[in-house]
Amino acid sequence: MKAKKAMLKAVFYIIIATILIAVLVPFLSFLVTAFYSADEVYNIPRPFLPKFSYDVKVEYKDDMYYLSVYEDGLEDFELKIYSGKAEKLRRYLQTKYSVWLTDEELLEDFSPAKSGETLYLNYKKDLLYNFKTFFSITNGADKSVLNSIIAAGWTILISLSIGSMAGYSIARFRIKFKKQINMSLLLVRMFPAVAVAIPMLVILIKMGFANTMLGLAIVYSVGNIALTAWITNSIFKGISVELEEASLVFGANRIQTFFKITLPLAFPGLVACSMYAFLAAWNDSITALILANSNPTLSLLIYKAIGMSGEIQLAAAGAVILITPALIFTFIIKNYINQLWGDVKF
Amino acid sequence: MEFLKLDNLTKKYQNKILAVDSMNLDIRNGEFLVLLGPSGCGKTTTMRMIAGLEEVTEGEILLEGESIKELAPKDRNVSMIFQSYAVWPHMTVRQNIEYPLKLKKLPKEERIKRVEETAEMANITEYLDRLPANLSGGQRQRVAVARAMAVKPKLFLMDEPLSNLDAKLRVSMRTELKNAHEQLGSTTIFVTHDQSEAMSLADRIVVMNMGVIEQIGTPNQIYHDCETMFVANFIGSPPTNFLEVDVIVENSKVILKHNLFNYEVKTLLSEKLIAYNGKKIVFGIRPENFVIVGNNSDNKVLFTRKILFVEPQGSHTIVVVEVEGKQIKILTSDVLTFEVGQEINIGVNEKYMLFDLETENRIK
Repeated sequence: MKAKKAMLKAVFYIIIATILIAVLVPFLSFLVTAFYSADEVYNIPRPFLPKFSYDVKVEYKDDMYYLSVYEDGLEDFELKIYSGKAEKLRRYLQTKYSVWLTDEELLEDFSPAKSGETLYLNYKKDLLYNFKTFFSITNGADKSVLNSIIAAGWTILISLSIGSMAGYSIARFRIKFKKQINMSLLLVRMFPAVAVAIPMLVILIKMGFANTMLGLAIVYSVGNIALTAWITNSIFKGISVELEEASLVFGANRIQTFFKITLPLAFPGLVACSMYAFLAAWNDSITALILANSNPTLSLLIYKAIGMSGEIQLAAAGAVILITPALIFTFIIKNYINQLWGDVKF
Repeated sequence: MEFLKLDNLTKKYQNKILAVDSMNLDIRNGEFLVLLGPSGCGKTTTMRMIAGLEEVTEGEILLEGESIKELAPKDRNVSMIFQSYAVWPHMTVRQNIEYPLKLKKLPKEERIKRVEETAEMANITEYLDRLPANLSGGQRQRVAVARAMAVKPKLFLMDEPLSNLDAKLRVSMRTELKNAHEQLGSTTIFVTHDQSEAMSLADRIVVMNMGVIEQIGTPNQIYHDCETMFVANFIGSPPTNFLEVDVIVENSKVILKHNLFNYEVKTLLSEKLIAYNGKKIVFGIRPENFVIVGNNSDNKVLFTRKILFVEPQGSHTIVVVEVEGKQIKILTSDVLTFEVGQEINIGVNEKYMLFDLETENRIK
């Protein structure tokens, strides 16, 4: 009996560990990649942690600077480039090693080599180089962040307001075919976005919502209203009807009762529920690709960036930019998550 | 004039299920009225219709002569104490009591005064700034009572307010409710399925079953003077024993004939029973109205049976015997004498009740 229990426990932990590894390893690898320089990305095996600075050796021969960089793998300096032009050297250092220098600074640093001595310099790598570059080379990256926020905001607003009203009615009122309605709510979620995106696009164009964030949010909301209704249904069921009835008897009308009693009690659950709407809007790129291609959201932009450029470290930086707000949002509402399932505690 | 009048009050759910069937009831000012019945008898539905939480299908509700049927709950001037207390969990005790007063737009000084007054009465002054989550069940109940009192309603409605409390607390809260009622003199309707609660609190009890009123009366009337078999069976623990008997009229003597005994009715009832000659009626005897008589006794003995069980209750003992497959319970104050298997002679005193077998109504 005891052995069996111990074994079950071991199996349980192994499963948990596997899941953790499956989730964490790709995430960590991407996180690290976001801080790599181009040189590190193509250095195989890749260093476990990104480097913070580079040792550089500069020699001067025949009107040209010979630039060598210390390689951990070789445990020695390796000649990388030679040129008399400051601009070429500067650009090389920047794109390959994420080192920011102006031409003047570079010449000032390198000029002592002209006297024939070998210079040993140490340059700091800019860890945020990929993030800065991501915004400067992708077209309209800052606008896409704003777009993503707007689309997520609309999605939360639409699906929470309509969905929670539906959830409230299912929880409180006597409706014919209530069970069937409740089931059919989940049916909506079964249609993949791609399958309905084309007809949706036609409808949105006719309504004048193509390539707008509101239009995108409406499409996201379709699936989310159903989910929100389903979840808020259990939240409202968790709030005793007698609490509302007491308010009615003691002098409040229905609207006062809703805002003074029901809403404050349901609020934590509703906040938690908004997480689903937020994540659905924030993480989607397929629907956005079809419906808002010329006015992309952040996740669509990153999707494209990964596809187009060979520079994987830039895509990784974009992914980190994408993940961060979702993580922050989830962290803020983490205390409310339990209440999603009608587990209203006070 | 009656204070609250229910006139032909009817509630149908989905046009099919009849929850309350043409109920007529007059409630006097200052009265403590208890609606008593098994679950599903319509007592709570009746109360909810009075509160306005349930729509009236048919009939009238008149408060001081005016119809309140169409009014919203908030305009009916009633207070309600709920089974689950319904104390709002996101408000402190003070806010809970003050919220109804705010809705009634009372000035601030008056509100504060009333909160303090009622908190004092309900003994919760020291908890005023706590949240309900930090209170025990009994304390939450007091908050609900204080909240109901603070609005000074015309009518108090209480929907099984004590059923969520543990047994001991229930009895002491019962006394407190009675006390509060006596101090305020407010008209109260109290719903319960617990007969001892009903008996100890009520001025009058309304016994309901399947949407209709079975009997209205004082606790003593309800117990000793039952009008239907349902009331005789529902009230009393253990309930009334029923035996089917034949009525036989011989030489102006009225005899109740059973396989085990013949009983001659000598009271005024005998005249009524002449009409039942040759028919079956029901002989209803409360457990304490049996007498266990000594061996040598004469015609007082109805039948002799072996004891099936003995259930000691402390102050009294319940003796169980079997008569034609039915268990008959006999209450005796003799707590020591009886043993299982012993033969006893059983008689009956004159406080029995007779019921019509078909209508189940009392013959009297």
